[in-house]
Amino acid sequence: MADIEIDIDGKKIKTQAGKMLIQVADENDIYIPRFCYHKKLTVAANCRMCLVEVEKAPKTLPACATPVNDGMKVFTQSTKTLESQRAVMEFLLINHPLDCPICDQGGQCELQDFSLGYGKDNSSYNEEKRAVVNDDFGPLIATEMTRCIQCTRCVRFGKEILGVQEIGATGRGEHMQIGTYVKHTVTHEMSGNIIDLCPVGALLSKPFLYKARAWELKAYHSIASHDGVGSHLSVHTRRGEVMRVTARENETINETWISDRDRYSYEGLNQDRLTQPCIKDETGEWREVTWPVALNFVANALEKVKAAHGANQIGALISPNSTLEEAYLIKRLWRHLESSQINYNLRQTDPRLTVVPGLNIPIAEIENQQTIVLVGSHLRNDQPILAHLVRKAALKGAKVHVIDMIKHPYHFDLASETIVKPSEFVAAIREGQAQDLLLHSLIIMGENALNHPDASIIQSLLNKFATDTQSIFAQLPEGANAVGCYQVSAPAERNHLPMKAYLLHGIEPEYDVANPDQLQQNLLSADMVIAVTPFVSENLKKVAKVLLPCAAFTETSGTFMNLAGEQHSFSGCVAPKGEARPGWKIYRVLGNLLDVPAFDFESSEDILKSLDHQERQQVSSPDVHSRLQYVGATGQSSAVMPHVNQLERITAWPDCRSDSLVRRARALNQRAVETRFEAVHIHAETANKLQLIDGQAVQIKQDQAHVSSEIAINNQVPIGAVFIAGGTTLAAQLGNAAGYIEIIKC
Amino acid sequence: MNILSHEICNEIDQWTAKFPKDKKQSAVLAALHIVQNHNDGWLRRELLDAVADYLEIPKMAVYEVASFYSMFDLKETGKYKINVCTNISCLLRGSEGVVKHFEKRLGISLGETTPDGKFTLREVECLAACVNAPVCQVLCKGKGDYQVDLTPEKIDTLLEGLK
Ligand code: SF4
Ligand code: FES
Ligand code: FES
Repeated sequence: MADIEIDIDGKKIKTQAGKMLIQVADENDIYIPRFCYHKKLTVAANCRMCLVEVEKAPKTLPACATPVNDGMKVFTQSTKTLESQRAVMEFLLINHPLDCPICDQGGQCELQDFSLGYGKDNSSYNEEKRAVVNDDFGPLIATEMTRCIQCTRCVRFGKEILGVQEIGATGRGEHMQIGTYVKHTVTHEMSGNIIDLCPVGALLSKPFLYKARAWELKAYHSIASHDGVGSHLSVHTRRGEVMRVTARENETINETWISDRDRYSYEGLNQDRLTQPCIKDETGEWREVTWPVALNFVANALEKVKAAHGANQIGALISPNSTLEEAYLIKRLWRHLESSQINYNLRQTDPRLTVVPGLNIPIAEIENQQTIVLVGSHLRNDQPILAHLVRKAALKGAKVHVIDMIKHPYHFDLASETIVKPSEFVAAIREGQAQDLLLHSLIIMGENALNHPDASIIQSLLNKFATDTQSIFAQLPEGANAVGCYQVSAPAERNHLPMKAYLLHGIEPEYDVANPDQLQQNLLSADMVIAVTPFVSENLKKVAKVLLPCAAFTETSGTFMNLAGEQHSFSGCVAPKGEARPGWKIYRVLGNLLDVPAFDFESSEDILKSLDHQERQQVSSPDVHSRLQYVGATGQSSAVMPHVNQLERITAWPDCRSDSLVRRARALNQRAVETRFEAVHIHAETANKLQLIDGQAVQIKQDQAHVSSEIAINNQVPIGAVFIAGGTTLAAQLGNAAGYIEIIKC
Repeated sequence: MNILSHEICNEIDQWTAKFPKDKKQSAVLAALHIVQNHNDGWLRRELLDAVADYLEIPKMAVYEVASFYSMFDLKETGKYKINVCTNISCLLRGSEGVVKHFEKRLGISLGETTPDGKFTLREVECLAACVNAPVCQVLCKGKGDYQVDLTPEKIDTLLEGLK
């Protein structure tokens, strides 16, 4: 693009031809008011708020739709410009209700601001204002469509970014209305962004509705804690309470978007909080104790178990959402105790697998890929922002191939899609695509593949395939800090046998692991179970001997490493609830009690600094990958032959059930009710064969467990397989996530 | 399930054939006309959805178009749709009287349908026949004529003829 020079308000600006005037003004900190323009969306030029005077043009021109030309002279403050802005404001306000005092947008409303800055104090319009019937977008988004100024940002966002046209403009002229037309819940995993986009109070956050005024809130920077993207957040608090979460711009990661899970999970912060350290006494009663008592008790208990049974009888099961600092201190503690038993890949079913997490390219590079292969990855659910980038790549012409065990709806075209039962999955990958088709591609091994019982074989197959095709091999496990956990505490010999003592850090044993049934047995027969957790549940009370309240998301400082290996530190936004303490403090003190050397950390920054001198597992270095043994050709499948009546079980964690915080987020779970995550999903043909109908009550049997549930017909599931969502009450009562299921009619 | 008949699909295919393969959306107006004419002169929601599915475009894209043009009816109408022009030329030539007379004869107001389901009366913007104002258009199954230089007598004869 040719370099040109233009003049805005007397300021000479060098820029490139082809850019829009508003872009150039933005780049040079010259503000032109706008409603419909958004840098991530196509230009609609329908609100006319950005009209500016341009020399030699007979009328003022919309800056968002006027390309710059060499020698152009623009006046953003001239009488003509100001007059245009006043006129446009008057038009926009004709039908806009004056309900600012009860509107949540009040105080952060572009219309309000511009009315003050660029409008008039009176209107020539005396007639009746228009009102429209309100819409209902479901539990996440509140609507007040009479306030809509029809900028169509939300409509374009749906079409262009989400890839689903759920919202549109129907009717014409005065009768034009923005909405879903046919009432239904907006289900896209990134739908909440329309709240940030809407310049007025037409689209608002439902959980936040009438909870606080914008000017009462303090905004803190934070990092999202549910997936490996490291989305940048703005956490808004009032009097020590998190009131809402919105997106914070970061061009190379989440652009201006965040997933709904990251936006609404804060709702869980006030549920079931553990606020006081507790110890279970001999009679099974819970007693509240002080921190020193609790930690001394824990230190003694650990030493006792070590003395009696050996250090490797002490296991730590830690959430992959733990901060780098927490994971590192636990590692140091365990090293001091001489135990190697730390596990954070809790949904894995193949004990032979060592996940080497990481994308191995910068996140922003995804959209420049030519070929992307998604192997067992429900990317839209697991890493919504990455799915958005894959969609961007697809729109630019990338070929996306999918091999999976369940058919996911994609918001872009696929070059090929292979859906097979788990038992045929490895073979499907082996056959795969011709190598020349996949040269230089990005191969993503997602959660479903990593949790497959033959994941180690899949991993080595894909790794070899990637080497042969000079492709990038990415493994994307769950968790906000899978990479960090791996770096400080790469799993050594993991023991899946029952142990004598367990530390549960930030997990709920019935929901967060591949085999809840087995873990439950192990915990119940252990001598000591220490749960460090922000939340308390009946089950934790049942299995644990000590409950230590730790700070939840937004309450602690720390660091996450995202899948691209970028390190993002954040500070706490609010104080932890009650007596809860940041995880790193708990382990610091515990370490002191156990006399771990050089353990006097004053802050999470301190820990991070000390970590800088440590040797960490390198994620992306090629030798890690070459160390992966190639077992693809010979690896023994762990599958056992099913009985005639048995169906293969597939389990994946839906976004609203993926960790202890989101499981308590009301609106997210309410929205997901339609997906029937507590039901047993089978294909219509499977149902036919077994003579089952949708909604039918059944008993399902897996190994020892018998559980009642109901049938949901879902043709995304392959024939002969059953889908059971992880993190649910249903899955909590069952065993191995990758076993066989028998369905018995009641 | 496709609720569009074979015949309808064939007609739509003739239109999609005129556009590039990936631009089937261009045929949406024609498709809606065809479907409306074959289905009692109005478009049920299911029909809009069926058009969207048939053209492989988002449902919303069909809703937007169908609700934008007044030629498409999204609510049940009478057998005959009487569209009276009330725009400027017709207004100057007495369209108010024309509307009143229709309303009196049919016993309904603008925008309503007679209880026997025979007539729907409504006002429309300029029908581009201003030389013969006041004007109305009578439509049945998508076909119909302009009635020009309307007088009460002409309206009476017109309605007689439609019985
Ligand atoms: S709802 Fe908001 S974003 Fe959507 S068109 Fe109306 S004003 Fe614009
Ligand atoms: S911002 Fe330019 S017309 Fe709306
Ligand atoms: S104004 Fe009635 S036809 Fe033109």
